[in-house]
Amino acid sequence: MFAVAKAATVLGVNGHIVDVEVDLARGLPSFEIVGLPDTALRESRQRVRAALKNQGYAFPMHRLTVNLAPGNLRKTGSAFDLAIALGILAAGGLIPENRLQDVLVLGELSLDGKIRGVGGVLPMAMAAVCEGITEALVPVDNGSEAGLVQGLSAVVVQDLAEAVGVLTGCRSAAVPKPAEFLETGYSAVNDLSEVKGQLTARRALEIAAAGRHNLLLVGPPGCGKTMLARCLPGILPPLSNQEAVEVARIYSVANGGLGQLKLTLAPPFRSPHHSSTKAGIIGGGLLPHPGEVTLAHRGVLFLDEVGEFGRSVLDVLRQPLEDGVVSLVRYGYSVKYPSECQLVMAANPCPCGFLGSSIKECTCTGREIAAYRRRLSGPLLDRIDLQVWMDALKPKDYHTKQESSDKVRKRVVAARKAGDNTCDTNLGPADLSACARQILETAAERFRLSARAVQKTIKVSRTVALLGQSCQIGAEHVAEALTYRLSL
Amino acid sequence: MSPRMYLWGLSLLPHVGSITAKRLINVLGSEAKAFWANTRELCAAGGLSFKNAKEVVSAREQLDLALKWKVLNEEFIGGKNNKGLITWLDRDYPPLLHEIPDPPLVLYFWGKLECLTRPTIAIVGRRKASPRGIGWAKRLGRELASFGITIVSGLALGVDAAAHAGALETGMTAAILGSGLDRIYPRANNRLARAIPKKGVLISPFPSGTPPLRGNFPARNRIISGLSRGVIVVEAGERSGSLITASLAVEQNRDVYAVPGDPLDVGASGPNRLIQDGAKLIFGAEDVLEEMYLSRQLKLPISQEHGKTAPSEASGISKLDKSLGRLLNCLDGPLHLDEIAVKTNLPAADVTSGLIQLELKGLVEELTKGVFQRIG
Repeated sequence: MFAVAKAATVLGVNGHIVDVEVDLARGLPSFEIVGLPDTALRESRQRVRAALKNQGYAFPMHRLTVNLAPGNLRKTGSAFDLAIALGILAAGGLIPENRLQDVLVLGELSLDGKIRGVGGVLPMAMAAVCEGITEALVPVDNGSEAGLVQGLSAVVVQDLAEAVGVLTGCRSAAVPKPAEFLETGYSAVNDLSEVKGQLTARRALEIAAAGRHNLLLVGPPGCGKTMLARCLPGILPPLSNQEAVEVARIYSVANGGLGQLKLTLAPPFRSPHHSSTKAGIIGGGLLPHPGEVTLAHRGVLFLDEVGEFGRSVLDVLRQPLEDGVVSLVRYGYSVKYPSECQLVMAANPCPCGFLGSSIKECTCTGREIAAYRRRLSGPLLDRIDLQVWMDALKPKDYHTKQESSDKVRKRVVAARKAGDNTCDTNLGPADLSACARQILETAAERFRLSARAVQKTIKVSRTVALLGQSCQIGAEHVAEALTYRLSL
Repeated sequence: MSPRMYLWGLSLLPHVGSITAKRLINVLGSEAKAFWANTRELCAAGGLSFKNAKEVVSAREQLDLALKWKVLNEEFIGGKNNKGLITWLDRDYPPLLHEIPDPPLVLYFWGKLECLTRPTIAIVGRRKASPRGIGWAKRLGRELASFGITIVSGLALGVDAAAHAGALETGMTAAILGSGLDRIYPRANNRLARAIPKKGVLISPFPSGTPPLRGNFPARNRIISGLSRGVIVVEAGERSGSLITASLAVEQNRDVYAVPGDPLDVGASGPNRLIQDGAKLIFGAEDVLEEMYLSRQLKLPISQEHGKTAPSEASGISKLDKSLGRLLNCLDGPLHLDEIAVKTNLPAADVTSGLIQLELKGLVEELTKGVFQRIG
């Protein structure tokens, strides 16, 4: 009286296959789950018991032990319900014993036996294929995710009885439609044609998009910093299918199976509030959960009012931005979350926001301004390639007509393509033209640029040159890059 | 033991300002006697209250004057870094300062003290100046300094710093501090302060280690106006430090000049009020020169470094391409990059790249972030 079903759990953004072993033994009736289950998983006993009863199956009057193997891996979530229920039925002889061997079974049970969607189906299904599992039973809500995975024939099931029917062959299997790659995500973000004036900042945004540069916008309140930043995903090139799946995988884990997964090609855009905690930004918790920097993977992380963020919160961003990955170490295990995102920050020039503004007087004291700037400065600024000082809009700018995001995106895509063709990103000073080198030297002396600043300028000049479809970095490209040098 | 030492000693005592010191010296006959005055003499001759006099005496007892003097002299007489101390009694004490009612007993300096023998003009104004104000201060500083005038100011942020920076480009400048010479305040001006001793002078009435206390600044303002033949107020709010300097200048019988501004502008209310009260309205450096009986013909040979770059700049203009010329022409005042782009109808890429090129050629300057102005 023994059966094994296959389920899976998620660690980081990777799925791990878990064997659900069910043993029915003589003795006083009891129901025990072992193998490091978390609370949600331990509670599955009640759900399984009720679901079996309400679907018309008799709950075995045996000593019932469920073991989740490997035993040293922490298992989380409610996705094991269906596997446990089917395992019990198989152990009781209702389902052929070997039938469950090569089927990944995922789903949460409601008390009446209906199957609810769960989080992380995409990485779990991917892990199943790696382990040689070829079949999967998944909730209807997760059908599109599971259908995406090549080499896995997924079946969606609505309730426990249907699942049993499919496994015993009495019912025909409903094959889910795999999720489609949608480009509609672009319509959700702001369009550049809505942004009035701010010509320099628009240009900086275009350069940032073309070169994946991190950007800092400084300007008085209401000048359009946030709006501009929200336009950035709209001018980024669409994700490749592979990238879209990477992103979908993260959201599959993070969303906890709430509704159908959207497989959008528009890069993600995250703008956490400045009261966010460290764990909220880079991920964390006792059982780690991805943070904002991971949710912005392959997209944009926007920190509005960056001066208001806690200093320690900004500091923890350094390593993820540098390495493109967050690794969180917990007792006994560690998880890695991808975090390759583009950082955009917006800040006021001083606490009141009007320092240097042409429309309003600043009311801050020098000490306040210095303290505010100190909070902005520091190691995070090292990651910033471009900085723009914006001024308030002039009334006559309100009626100007501006380019749309689609047009700008075309240029960005062209520049990226040109950049990919000319190989590596570490274009050294050798590719600077003679006058470009001269202007860079003069500027380095005049503006007292550090070696790092010079390096950044070259990096940005390269992007500017690519945007201009030029094969060499000229003086005008370096000069433009210098405008956006970091200065606080 | 020299009278200089005792004069210096007097400057270190609490409650003893220059007026009290002067009185003590006159009544008691010498600097030494003034320094060693007992409580009764301090009260009678110096006009101090009994409590203050006792504090003076106790402070004096804790002060090992001879030893400190020795240390000070060792530090200065080495003469390595142009640092030094001048007192009332010295020949090179600025003569203009002797004219004011309460000249400081001693001044600590770092740099070229001789720049105070030239005609001097003070430029003061707001710390939070507008780009326009910064532009004016820089331009006035640059132009007046090129006529051999030493620009005096207070090394504060905004107008002061701009005036010093402008003057350093073509001539000399003197910065008066409200703290010890080793405690540059505000720290944002550290770099500027380090550049000044090479071409001008840093001056403080306070010994090394004195922090920039609020109470130090009136004394500094008095010296700024006292050292100068005239004071130019560029931008100032009503009831501001700059207006105090201007009223001190009037008391000290100095000229007051003011750069006018829009009446609705907060930063212009100070100079506008001064003009209403009779200050001379100036449109540019010429107005000041005229008032000082210096004409353009008197222009001193400007420093070599500047002379060298000037011709190359001139020939550079002809070589500039069209869009740079267009940029240069549209800059009739301080303008933000975006405004320039709208005005010239050039794409933002050309505007930003062009302005940096012009800046590196020395034809325009960035006043505040993103705001540019034409030079000259």
